[in-house]
Amino acid sequence: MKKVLILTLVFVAASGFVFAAGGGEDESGSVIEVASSSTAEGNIAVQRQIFGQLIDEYNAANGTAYEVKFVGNQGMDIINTRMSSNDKPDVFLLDSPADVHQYASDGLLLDLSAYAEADGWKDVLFNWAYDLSKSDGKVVTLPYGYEGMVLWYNKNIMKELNLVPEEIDTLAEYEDALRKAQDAGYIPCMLGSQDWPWAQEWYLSILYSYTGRDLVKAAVEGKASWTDPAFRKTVELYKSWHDKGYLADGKSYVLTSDDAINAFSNDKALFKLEGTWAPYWIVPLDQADQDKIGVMLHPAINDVEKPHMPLAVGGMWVVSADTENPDVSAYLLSGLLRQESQDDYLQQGMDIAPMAIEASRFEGLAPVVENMWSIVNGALANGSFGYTTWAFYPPETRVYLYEGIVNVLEENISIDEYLKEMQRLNEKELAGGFLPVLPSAH
Amino acid sequence: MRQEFSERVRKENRIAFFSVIPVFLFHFLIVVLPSFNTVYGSLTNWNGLGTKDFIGFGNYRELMTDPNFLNAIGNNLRWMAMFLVFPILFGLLVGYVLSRVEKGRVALRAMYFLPYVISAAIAGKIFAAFFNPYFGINVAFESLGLDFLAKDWLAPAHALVSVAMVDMWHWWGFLLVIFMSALQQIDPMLYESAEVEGANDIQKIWFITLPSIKQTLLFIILVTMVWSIGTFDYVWVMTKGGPGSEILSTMLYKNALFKYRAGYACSLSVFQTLLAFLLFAVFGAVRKRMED
Amino acid sequence: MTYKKTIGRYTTFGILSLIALIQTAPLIAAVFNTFRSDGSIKKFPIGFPSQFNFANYAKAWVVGGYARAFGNSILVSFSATAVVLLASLIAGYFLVRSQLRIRNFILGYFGVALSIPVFSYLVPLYYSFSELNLVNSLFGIILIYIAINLPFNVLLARTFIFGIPKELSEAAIIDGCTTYQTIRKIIFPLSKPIVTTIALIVFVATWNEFTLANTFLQSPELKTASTKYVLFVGERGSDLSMIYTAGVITMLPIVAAFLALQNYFIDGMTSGSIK
Repeated sequence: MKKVLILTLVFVAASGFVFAAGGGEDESGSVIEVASSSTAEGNIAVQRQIFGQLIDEYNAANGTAYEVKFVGNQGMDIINTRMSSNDKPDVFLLDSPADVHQYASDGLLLDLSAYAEADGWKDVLFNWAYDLSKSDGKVVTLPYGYEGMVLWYNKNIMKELNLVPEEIDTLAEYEDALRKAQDAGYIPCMLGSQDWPWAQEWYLSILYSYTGRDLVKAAVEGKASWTDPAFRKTVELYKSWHDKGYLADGKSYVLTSDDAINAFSNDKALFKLEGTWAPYWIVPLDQADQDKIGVMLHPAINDVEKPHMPLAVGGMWVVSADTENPDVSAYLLSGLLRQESQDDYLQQGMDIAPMAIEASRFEGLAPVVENMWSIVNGALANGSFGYTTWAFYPPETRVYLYEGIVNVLEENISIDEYLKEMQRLNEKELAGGFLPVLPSAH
Repeated sequence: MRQEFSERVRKENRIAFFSVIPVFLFHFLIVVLPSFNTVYGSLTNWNGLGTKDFIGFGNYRELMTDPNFLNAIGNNLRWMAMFLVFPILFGLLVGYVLSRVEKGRVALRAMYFLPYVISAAIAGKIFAAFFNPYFGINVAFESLGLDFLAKDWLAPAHALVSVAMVDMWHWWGFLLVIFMSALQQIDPMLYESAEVEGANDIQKIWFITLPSIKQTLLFIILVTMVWSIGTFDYVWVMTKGGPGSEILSTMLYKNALFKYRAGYACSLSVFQTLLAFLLFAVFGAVRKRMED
Repeated sequence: MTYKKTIGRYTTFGILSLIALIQTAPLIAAVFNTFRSDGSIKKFPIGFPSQFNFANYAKAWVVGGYARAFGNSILVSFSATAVVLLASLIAGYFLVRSQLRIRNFILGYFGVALSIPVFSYLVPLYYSFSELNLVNSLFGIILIYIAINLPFNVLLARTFIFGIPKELSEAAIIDGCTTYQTIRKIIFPLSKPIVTTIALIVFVATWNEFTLANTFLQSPELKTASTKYVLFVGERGSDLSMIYTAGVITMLPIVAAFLALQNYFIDGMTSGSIK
């Protein structure tokens, strides 16, 4: 018995080595590797199909025989590792403008200026998006997929409290709604960041943008300071919401992201702060639960700004400087800017290209999702957008922004200390070579 | 005769040498040699991608003054203290009892071990749901009148302990399996003669069990210390090393991935290994002292 | 006296069962969630399923490509386990029994090696492996798995072999056995409990390993089972019913393997007693 077992083990191990050794693939020059951070099977399938169609068109037009090898699950950790080796994908996706900047300044990205010009990216993309495509004057990336911060609310509770979402426009009106919800025993605004610390920056992205977009831009660029009294006032406001329990019963950093979703979908909270990606958990809910959810822009918190939506780009497509096939790689990126490509993305619930999209493309989505996109599009048409922290702030400053705020709420540090540290980090990163890429708000 | 003997020892040593060295070399080539890169990286301002500029011991100097770092070490030590006590004690005691129970031993051992098999991602999610203040165990505690237990389990003040509890839930069954395999080496006759002399369970554990599995126990203590320095999975899944639960590994991960400070992350990684080395040396010295 | 003993036995059994409940309740909650819909888990994270149908399993099995993934995992885990087992027992034996001068060095080396984080060799190792064509290859991942499982298991084997009386192997040598014959005829049979334990540890460790497999294996057809759940993780959140189902599916083979080894283990318990 024992002998049999040992022999079997040895046999399996030996055959394992033999078979496994043959596992490596040889890649010829005609294969374009496209690496995306998407992990979900559906998202991968959609992209694989879109890139497959594009390569077929290219081959038909040019008499070539390229193949696309689409690889999912290539997040920044893996991309960073692969770009440090000689196993580089041809086309790949980075997370944010800050990532693009790091890659570009290390000379890892192909200059796409000529392709962008030929294919008219400037005319298709929103202005701010086109601004983001450039590093050091050259187009090096196709910003792709935008997401914005919005405010979700429970229609039933609104009705019960005699509130009308469209009439909650100012800080006073918003705080009034929060207070009414609390008095009626509801959690005024739901947010859970325990397992998802980035939920704190969702809210701060909105509040800082409302503090003044020009001021944020100047602060990041080192022309203004985070210790500005205006920021101080904003953090004070946020902390007062926390202290009063408006913000998740004062438990925003104790609750997990799932807790926040549970509470909101169980009619325990009036508002829930989350971005345009929220349909990922709204759409699977029962129809009745979905129907009671509404969406609006977060009201402005001062007179300087009108309601608008802090924006981020969902990803930045780039081409490796080492690619053997720059033409076809660039062709693939330009192809993503077609209107019909957006249908597949929308159906799958993925981010869409940062460009004007025909309204008809949103039809047929779940009502709350369609409503969301029309609000988002309307806001963009009005030229209103803000800066999300994860897309536009220097990386260390950004991490401190959402980690440090919890220490402020916990009263481990003062607001002044918090802002001073942000300013210190921002200065340090600018001195260390961080290049801000904030499109102008005007 | 003597010559023959030393010839034999020499031959034995040769066999031993050529048996052990490949194992060592294999590990060295795949794990340690590449890690030297990290030692170099720790002396640079590497951003994780391209060129690295040599900056000497700048990263280490920054480490020494980084309040986050000191906080993280403190948390790692708290973690270590918890893991040195609870899972080991629990694994030993339950292992001892279980090895003397006839009925249901197989099934019980399997159930105790099961949590070790599930991935941290799933276990973290389930426990986070248990900790949910609106639906979780708190509701059960409150309805049982145990309000004092209905805490915000993941609040910064006790996030580390809560996460450690989950990790220990997953971990102690693993120790149980190891302890039980060591317990089997003990000659049952020893217990029998102790029983004849009227020894109780505590005496049996103290005078028979513990001395017999000393090697294993010391090894587990060492492993617990070293792995407490590097623990990552459960903390990351449940709190991302947020306030109150920042540890060295989460700090390393954030620096490498979110802050573009791979050089700094390298210095943390080197520090982790140095700390383990230090623990190992102290442990070895103490052990030697105790044995002498 | 007997009455007291019975009480004692019931108390013991009661406590042992309570511990079993604590250990399994979260797992049962996870298994329950595999029978629920995503929407209902998002609303209530823990709950009793309204029905027990296996639609989630069927979907996860197909979408995740688990048939293929299990094949890969079995290949990888078995190969790594076999090699680590052999290497740890042999190295463990010599670390106890030989007079090698480098013995303490090797011991210390593996002790410190326990602490090396994946991060410290991941990037450079990826670089070398991509040069050697070992990226995207099961052979490559097997090599890494063997290496990273050596320190713990060599040391564990050593502590166990330490407990085997020296006289036994000396007697074998005097009887004319060569060193390896001694290992095979004396040490191996007496080490049954530790053989199963090491096999179990390495098997579980390699089966569940995520970071390295996820980095070094990119082709879907080469992926191991533990990396498959990411197919249900979206950019911002996951399909929870699928995540739980994938987790349980991934876990099942280890549970099966554990139960199979369990009998072997008990067998070792009776025949493995020494002296």
